Amino acid sequence: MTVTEPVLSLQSVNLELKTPDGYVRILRDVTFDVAPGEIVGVVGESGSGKSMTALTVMRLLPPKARVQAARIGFDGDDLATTSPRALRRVRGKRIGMVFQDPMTSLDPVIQVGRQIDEAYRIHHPGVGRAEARAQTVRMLELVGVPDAANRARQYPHQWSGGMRQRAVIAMALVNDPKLILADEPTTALDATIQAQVLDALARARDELGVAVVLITHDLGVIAQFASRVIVMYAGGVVEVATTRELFEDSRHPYSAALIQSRPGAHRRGEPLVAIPGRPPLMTDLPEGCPFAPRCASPYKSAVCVTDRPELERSVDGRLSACHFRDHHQEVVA
Amino acid sequence: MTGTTERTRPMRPSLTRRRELVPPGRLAFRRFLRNPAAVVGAVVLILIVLAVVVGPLFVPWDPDVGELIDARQPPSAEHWLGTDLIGRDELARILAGGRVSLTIGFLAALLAVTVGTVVGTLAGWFGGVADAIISRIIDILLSVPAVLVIIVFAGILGPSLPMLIIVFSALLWPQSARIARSVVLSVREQEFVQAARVLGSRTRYIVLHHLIPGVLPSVIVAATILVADAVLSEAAVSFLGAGVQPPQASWGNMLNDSKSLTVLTLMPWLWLPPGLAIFATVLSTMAVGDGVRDAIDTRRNA
Amino acid sequence: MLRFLVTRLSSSLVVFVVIAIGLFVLVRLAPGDPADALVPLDANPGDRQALVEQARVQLGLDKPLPLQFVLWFGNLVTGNLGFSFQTNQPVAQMLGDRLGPTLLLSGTALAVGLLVALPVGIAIAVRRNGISDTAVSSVSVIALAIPSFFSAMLGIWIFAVQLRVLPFAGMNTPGDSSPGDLFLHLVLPVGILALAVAASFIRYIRGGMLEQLGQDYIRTVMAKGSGPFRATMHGFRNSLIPLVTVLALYIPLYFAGAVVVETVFSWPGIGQLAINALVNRDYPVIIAFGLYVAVLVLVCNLLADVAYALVDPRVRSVR
Repeated sequence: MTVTEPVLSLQSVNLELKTPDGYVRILRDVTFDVAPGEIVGVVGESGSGKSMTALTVMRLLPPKARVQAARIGFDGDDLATTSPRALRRVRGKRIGMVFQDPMTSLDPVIQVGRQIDEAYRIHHPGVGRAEARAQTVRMLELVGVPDAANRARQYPHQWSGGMRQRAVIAMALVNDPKLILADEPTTALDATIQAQVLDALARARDELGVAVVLITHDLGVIAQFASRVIVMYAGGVVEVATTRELFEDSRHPYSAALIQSRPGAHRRGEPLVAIPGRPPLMTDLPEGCPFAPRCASPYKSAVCVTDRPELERSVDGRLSACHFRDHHQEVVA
Repeated sequence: MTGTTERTRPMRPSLTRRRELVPPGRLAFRRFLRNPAAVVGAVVLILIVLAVVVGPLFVPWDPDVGELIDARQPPSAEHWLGTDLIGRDELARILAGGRVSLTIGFLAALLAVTVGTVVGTLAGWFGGVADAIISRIIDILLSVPAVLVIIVFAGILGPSLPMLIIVFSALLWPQSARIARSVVLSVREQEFVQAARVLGSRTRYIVLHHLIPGVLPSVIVAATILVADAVLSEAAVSFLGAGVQPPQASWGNMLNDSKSLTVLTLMPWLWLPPGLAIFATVLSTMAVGDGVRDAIDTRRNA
Repeated sequence: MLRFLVTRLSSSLVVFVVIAIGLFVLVRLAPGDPADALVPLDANPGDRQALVEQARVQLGLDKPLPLQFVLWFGNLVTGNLGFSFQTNQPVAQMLGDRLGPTLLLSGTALAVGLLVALPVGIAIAVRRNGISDTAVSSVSVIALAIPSFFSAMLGIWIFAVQLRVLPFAGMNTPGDSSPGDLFLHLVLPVGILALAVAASFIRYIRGGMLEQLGQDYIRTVMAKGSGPFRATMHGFRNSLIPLVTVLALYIPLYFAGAVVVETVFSWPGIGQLAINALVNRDYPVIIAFGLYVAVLVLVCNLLADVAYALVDPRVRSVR
């Protein structure tokens, strides 16, 4: 682990959402740290709770959501016990957020620059328009928007998807936050644009020292940009590792299956590997390990069906939520 | 549905699996029954329809003819709702007037929905110039107030029942056309329709077997709103003297007879019942429509 | 944008001419001979035939139909709408005299209704499914189901007959033209009309706001650290796009409601004029009323297009 104090520290974060059929548990004891200035990847299939984790930190949840957490430590505060009013001074100022679909995450009837100005002025009440705009243009330039001063006066529909996502990133950066939560920031974009947008995010990290939680289902993105990875499955963290550790020596059968199933790992002539089955419904989790029904590990045994494994350290210090975390070293070679 | 076993699916937080075996129609019906406002509306509407259909058989008075010596009587055992200014039995007139009002309402709505569904379906299906022109016509007609048009027509050609029904349906069809069009636009992009097109199905077949069934639920909801709309409009034009003409009764023209201050002040039995009849009919129709809409809303039935 | 307006304007003019032709043909189809109607019935039967012919020439009815239309339409665009059969006054002047009271009544009602509907609609959308939402939504459904003439009669019965706090008809007490008196006369009819306006617009505003508040950009606004008020205002600006269109398109429908209310309250507006003309088969006035309705609808349609372009930058820049 890092020696420095983590900028974000989730400890046993639980989330329940209200559905027509009652409360459903979406997150289960989510626990991980993010160090200052690092890029941490969060991977998992759709519905694994990655996005909900970010929204829980920001407390941007649907009405009647129930959060129960031992601690959501952020920069010296515990967001789990922070009042909604005080949270507003955290959102956008100390934590920026980037959303999945840049085509819908900007207000269509307000100029792009105005929307970024707004983010700045909310947290700097005395500041005039000109000063806010100067900051907006600086941020747009930082994330690689050409002719920023003029383009700021355009409306979102006049911007391409990649450019809009840069605008959203600029908006997240405008108050010099400690942390950015990027929720699948490139999923909705073309492959070539993806790399540019992620480069912009990485550059922001380099220049401003902001930590980034990069939520994605694309392991290629993780491999390229993240130094550490949090793997989520069925609302819980199943493995935490450095990127290198994860790819070379993962300690959870789900991580291993993810790595094997990604298109980049596929060699010509061999059949594409897919993880059999579907992720379980959150309303209907199996009693034991939620991954057990799909698990292909040779160690799988009766305990996997009866007992849910917790996220714990292996003998050699790796974090995994598998009963057989100590046996997986050689499985993926 | 196609089998998408390997594709990850978005999380669906609803527990629908145990309901999957029930046919969708019955499911919708059950949801309708669980909506108290809709059920009360349906019951009231059925009672009103029953009353105006069979009610006159049990009322011994002629709705159009009265004896002047019986005029202006308050409700009594003989005349349950009293008598009007020229001695006609108010209850008999309410029931007879309801027949006229409901006939116009249902007939106009039926015609409008039929025309609207066909036109909207064709516009949505064929698109292009036809769609553009039809959409423009729909836009303009939507803002044409039926009541005012009837006043103009009645002022020139004289009021008549067929004219009422024709003008109402001519002006009310755009609402259902617009709904049908938007449903068709979404349906035609769906896989099974695309597949049918690729397989070379004839347009007529696709329209009959895929589009009309897809459009029907939304159109039924639109129809209930149209009934309410037509009943209200009929009442308004008859009230204004441009609709149903005396001595024939309609709920609207019964109120016209009673707008004098004397009647308003001294004979509430002459204007409260027809007003309440319109109100109850329209409100219960709208409640039924809302109930049907909520019941067939497929988003809740995913 | 300008080109778009010009095309829309010209298509509106085409529609107007079509409606004018329609009204013209309709009158020719109407039972009765207008020339015959002009000649008093008690005229000497021998002279009467000649008088009718004279009237026919005078009215231009001896000319071929298309020519008649061109002459009539020419008069129309120069503001000559003919003379009332009933009063012999110029129809244009009669219409003009009535326009003020109608605009006063409908305009005030529209403004009052919207002023009520905007905050209420937004508030119940924000607190959707709460007690206030359920209550307001129920009341607005009920208000929409009451025919305006019935609510008008109820209003008169309660406030003018029982409580005696408001006048029951007219625009002024005879001999009193003070603004205070006018205001008292306005309260009931405006209230009745505004109730209908507010009831339907609360539903539109609520629906539009609910749709917007569920959009992704609202979450972005919240993520900036804004409070609920700021986020609501973002949603409101976007909900205006469909709202202004609906508002403009529905103005003619509220004028229809105004006709009913004018009749009940004996308000000296265009609606009352039309109903009088209807009863007396005063064709020139009826036609003028038809043209007035047509202009109202077409202008409001144009208004809807312009308003739409004004509030939506996507339309503004594309066209």
